[in-house]
Amino acid sequence: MSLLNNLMAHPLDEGYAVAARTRPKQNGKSLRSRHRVMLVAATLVLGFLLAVAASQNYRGAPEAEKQRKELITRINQADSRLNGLRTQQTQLADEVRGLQASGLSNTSSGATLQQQLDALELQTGAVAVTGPGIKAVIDDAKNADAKEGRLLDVDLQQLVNGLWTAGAEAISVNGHRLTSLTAIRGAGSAITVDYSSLTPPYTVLAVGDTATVPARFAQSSGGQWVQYLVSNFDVRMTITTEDSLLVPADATIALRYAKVRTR
Amino acid sequence: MIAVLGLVIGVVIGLVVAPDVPEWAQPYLPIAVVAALDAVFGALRAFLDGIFDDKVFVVSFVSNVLIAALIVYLGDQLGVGSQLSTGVVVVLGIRIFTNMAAIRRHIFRA
Repeated sequence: MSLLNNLMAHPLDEGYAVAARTRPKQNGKSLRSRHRVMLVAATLVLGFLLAVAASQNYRGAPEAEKQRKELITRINQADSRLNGLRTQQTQLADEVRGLQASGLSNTSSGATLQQQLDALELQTGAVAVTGPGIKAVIDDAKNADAKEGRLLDVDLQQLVNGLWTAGAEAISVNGHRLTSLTAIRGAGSAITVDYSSLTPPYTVLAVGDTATVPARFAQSSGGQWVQYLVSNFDVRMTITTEDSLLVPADATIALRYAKVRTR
Repeated sequence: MIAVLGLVIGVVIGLVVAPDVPEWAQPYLPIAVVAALDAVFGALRAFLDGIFDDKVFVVSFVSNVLIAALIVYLGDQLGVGSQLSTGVVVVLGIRIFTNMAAIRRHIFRA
């Protein structure tokens, strides 16, 4: 502790005392003025250091904010580009379908193929469908934080599975059609459906019998799961029946490797 | 008086020019500032004690800043830069506080 004691006892530079003792009684004028210049220079440097350190500190914070903003803009740009490409893909798929139909309609065997194709497309989700059904809007709790009240991928999976169990024939989440290839999973704090990150509220459209789907959904394990969330974590959910819903097509549905087994 | 004037002019220059501190100098700047403050409070106390000396102040100011920077540099090379910075700040902080107490006694007689 002698070091600290020493520090406390002699905080002043020894040099001052030494200089005071050895200082000649009458100072040479020229020497004093030269020291004055150095003194001013030193205080100048000190002021400069202080100002630079302070301004550096203040400028650091907006820089981080700026970078964050820039990243957000970039994400938004990429998102809108993705949406544009999806729209284009849907249009092209429609065009292909139209050409296919006109090509097939010429012959009778083509016509039967077309019928088969229509039925398959309807079931796989390759075409947009309309029909009566229910619309469920589910959102995080109002005071949701990182720990509680935020919907997870598993919650959305349960909701969707409940709807399938209840007899839904076609389901979309925030405009993404669910097919046999659609994954609902969590990535960071966001839920991704069909590899697109979604932001709450999540709108789930399900085409099905409006008379039976709501009741059967409420009885399904998925429905009970969601109900548990609603009553225990203040998750907000509204379910309405609609006379006509439009569930969009999944334009990306394509099997590249899977083939029918040759018998 | 002339010293205060120099300080004010220095602050103004620093704010007006506002130079970008290069990346390599950024860890040394805060330590240099603390070391410089220590020299200044020492000088202020010496002034009130009546033993202030320009030359001693300038030499202690420059050497304080350089040694503080050197210690941090050395610490960075050894991989204990942040610990050594803390040590420098603690030591200089104690000195500043004790000097400040003496200055306070001079000014308020308490």
